[in-house]
Amino acid sequence: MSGAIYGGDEVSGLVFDAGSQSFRVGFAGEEYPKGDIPSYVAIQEAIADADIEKNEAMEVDDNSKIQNKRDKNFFIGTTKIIVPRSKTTVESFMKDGLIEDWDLFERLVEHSYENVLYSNPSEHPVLFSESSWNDRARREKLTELMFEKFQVPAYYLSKNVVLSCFAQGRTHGLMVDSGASQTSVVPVFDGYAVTHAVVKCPMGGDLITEQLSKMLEQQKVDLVPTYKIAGKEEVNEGDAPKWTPKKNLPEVTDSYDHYMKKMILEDMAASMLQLCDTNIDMDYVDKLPSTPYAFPNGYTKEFGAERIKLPECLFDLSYLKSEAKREGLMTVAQMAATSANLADIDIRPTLFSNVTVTGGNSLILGFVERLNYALATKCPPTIKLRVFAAPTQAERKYGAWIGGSILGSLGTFQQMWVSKAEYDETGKVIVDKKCP
Amino acid sequence: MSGWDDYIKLLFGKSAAIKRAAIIGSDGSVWARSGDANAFRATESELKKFAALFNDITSVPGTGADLEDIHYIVPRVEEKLIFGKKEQTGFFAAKTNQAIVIAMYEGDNAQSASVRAGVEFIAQYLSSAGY
Repeated sequence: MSGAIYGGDEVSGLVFDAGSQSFRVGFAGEEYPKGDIPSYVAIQEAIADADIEKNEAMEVDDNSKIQNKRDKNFFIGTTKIIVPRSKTTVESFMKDGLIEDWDLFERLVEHSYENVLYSNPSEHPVLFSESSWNDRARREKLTELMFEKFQVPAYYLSKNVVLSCFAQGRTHGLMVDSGASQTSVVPVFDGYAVTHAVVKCPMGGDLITEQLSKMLEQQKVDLVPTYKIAGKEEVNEGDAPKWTPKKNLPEVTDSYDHYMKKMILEDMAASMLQLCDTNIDMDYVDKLPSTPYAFPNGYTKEFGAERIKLPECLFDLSYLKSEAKREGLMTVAQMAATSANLADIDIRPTLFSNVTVTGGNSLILGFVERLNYALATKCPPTIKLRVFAAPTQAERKYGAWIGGSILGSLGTFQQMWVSKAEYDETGKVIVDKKCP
Repeated sequence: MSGWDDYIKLLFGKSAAIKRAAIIGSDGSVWARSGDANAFRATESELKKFAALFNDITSVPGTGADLEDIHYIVPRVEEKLIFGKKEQTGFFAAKTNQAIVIAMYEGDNAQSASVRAGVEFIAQYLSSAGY
């Protein structure tokens, strides 16, 4: 970009989209995020080594150094988390779509700047996404963190569904965001999220993997995570697996083991699961061809009816494997109908004719068609219903980030940033005023 | 009180996007309104209904608001603020102790931020003065 003319191109803002599955970071104006960092961080209690400590302390002549050795080690990024280490727990900084652990979050942001974006925080304006149900305290805390700790020159906070809407090239829509931890439906009108009409449910990719894990237990399939396997032999489908365990593995924590198993389950879900286009039909289910899945330990199994029955819980709660959890849950179609009905009656036709599906969990084959079918029965007959969805996998997973990239590079947006001067003058409450 | 008109002028000065403005009492009576080419066109009965909206503010987004015979969608409300929109126009209304400051504007979302700041500024000043 030439340095002569000042314009949106020169600003090179950064876009951060925090999700429960991953933390997307990148430069505004680019097509896809540079970094898709898992939202899980491996935290290791430092192994105290008395000799090293004593030597170091003597060297520096400072007894306080001994305390520092007890600090934890943090490992961020896929290649680092999956290494088995002793005394290492794997934790997420997010809960229910909101930032919960600020210390971890800060480390993730630092990691992004240093190892992914190679940028100095004080040189780039930064655009953050937030959930539509984010509370005031968290918004202000984020604002404070970015300006005080990272000294960003300018900042903006936008609702992630609004950004996903922009990514689709629209400013209105009933956004159905099915992600890892939550599925939420938010009406967006003219670039504003109608926050009082947000309907959300803790059903998402994580629920699906949990159901999958229960199913495997019921079928007595032993899910062996990759880190335990040293080698395996090819066996016929359905035969008992033959694999050799790795030797000298450190003793790992439950959370690490759980995370590694989850990786396999997610892969399984992505390759196998399918949803029926219309309400589930037993004939269709029986006739469905079965697909084999090869587990990391060499075991291969064919799955037939389960492929369809499993994700069905998103649209029909009776398919949920656990009785206790059904309280307070709604199906995706119910959520969409409720949300639209909470909105002003005048905008409902606009909402129904612009239903947009986004989020990684929506990539389940048949999700969009099924939603279309289920909604058609719930919305008033006179209203035209149209369901849109981005075609590619990347656009659904990164929808909010892409919208942020578009927004951050618009010429007209440059006047909307909250600048450091404005923050210094007004304080963190400025986020409520300038970032609706 | 002719003094109220000065506040209208002040409000216009806050943002170029503001086209019409008024300050009304919580009962709907007009304390001041912009006149001539920028006449604030809402009728007394409309204003009475509008003022009553502030009594049950969280229900407003579900129904929208009417001003100057136009129905506005209300995407956002806050404790003492109603923000209405219709395509390229909209309004901000902020409640003070005894009055409501209303500004009708024409412009895009970027300009609406300055309109909001202006309305809130006037409202805050009036509140601190006891009105």
